[in-house]
Amino acid sequence: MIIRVRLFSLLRSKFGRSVVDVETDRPIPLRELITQVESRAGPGLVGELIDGEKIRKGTLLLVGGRNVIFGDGLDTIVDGTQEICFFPPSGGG
Amino acid sequence: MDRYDRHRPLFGEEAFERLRRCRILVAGAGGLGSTVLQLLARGGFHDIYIYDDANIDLPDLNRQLLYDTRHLGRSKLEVACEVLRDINPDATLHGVPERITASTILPDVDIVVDALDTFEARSVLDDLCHGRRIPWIHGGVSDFFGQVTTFVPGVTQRFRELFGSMPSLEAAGGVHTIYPPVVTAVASVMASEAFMLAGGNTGNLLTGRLLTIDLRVNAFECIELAPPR
Repeated sequence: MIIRVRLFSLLRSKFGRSVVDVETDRPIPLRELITQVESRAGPGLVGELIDGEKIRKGTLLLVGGRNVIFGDGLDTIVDGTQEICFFPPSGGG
Repeated sequence: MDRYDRHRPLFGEEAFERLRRCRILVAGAGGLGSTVLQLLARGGFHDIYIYDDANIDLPDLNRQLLYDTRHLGRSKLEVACEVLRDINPDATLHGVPERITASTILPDVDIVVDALDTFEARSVLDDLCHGRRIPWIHGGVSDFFGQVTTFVPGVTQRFRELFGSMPSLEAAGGVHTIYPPVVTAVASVMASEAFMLAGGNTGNLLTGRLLTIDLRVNAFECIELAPPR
């Protein structure tokens, strides 16, 4: 299956990619997906999104239109049926 | 001929009358607020509440279109009301020289527009609007980027549910760098949401959708959001 990840805003400009496709033969946890995305988009992505064992504050990881911090976090299982979006939202006005 | 002739036909008389009767609150008269307020006042919103407690500083002038060099050091609220009255004397402006806090009692309004500049302030606004069941239009900007969505209590996820816990401005480095055109782009979409919501054309609003704007590459993209839990 193909799991498609959309990168936005600063992530898009830092890694030069708006979409990263990851091919896998099984559903995987979000943590593993992020590592796979880094291997395709370039080094540094994991550090942008994860701080130790936690999602980095200021980062929005949406799976199926929901913020994963209110669900299973980095253990959220993804399988290619959900829309997956990573970005730091903009806070200024 | 009147001042609304060029856009009233786009709404129809009935919808435009709904817009005219709509009471709207704009929280913040800075970058987003400057453009939103001008568009609302020019567009025929009659009752506009404005909350802001800041003064005009030199770095504001790159994007805060209500203000110019003559206004440096003055209250944003005071100048905004003066300028908006000149733009459209027909609008009734209710200026409140305060920041919105948890103890703010919102006036009786139909729509709130978030032109704030921190996630903490927006979380407070989320609580206030959710408690009063008032739909509110969120916009945020930084660098070349921005996002817009419209929260409707009971219909969409709440701000807190969507964004979770975001860092304070201080923790994020203390100041946002902002490309001026992205502010007016985001603010224009926010104002359009207000026009549509007020006029009753709610079918294509950004409710349950997050519009992201990236002017570095001219990308306008929507993310579908799940319904509230």
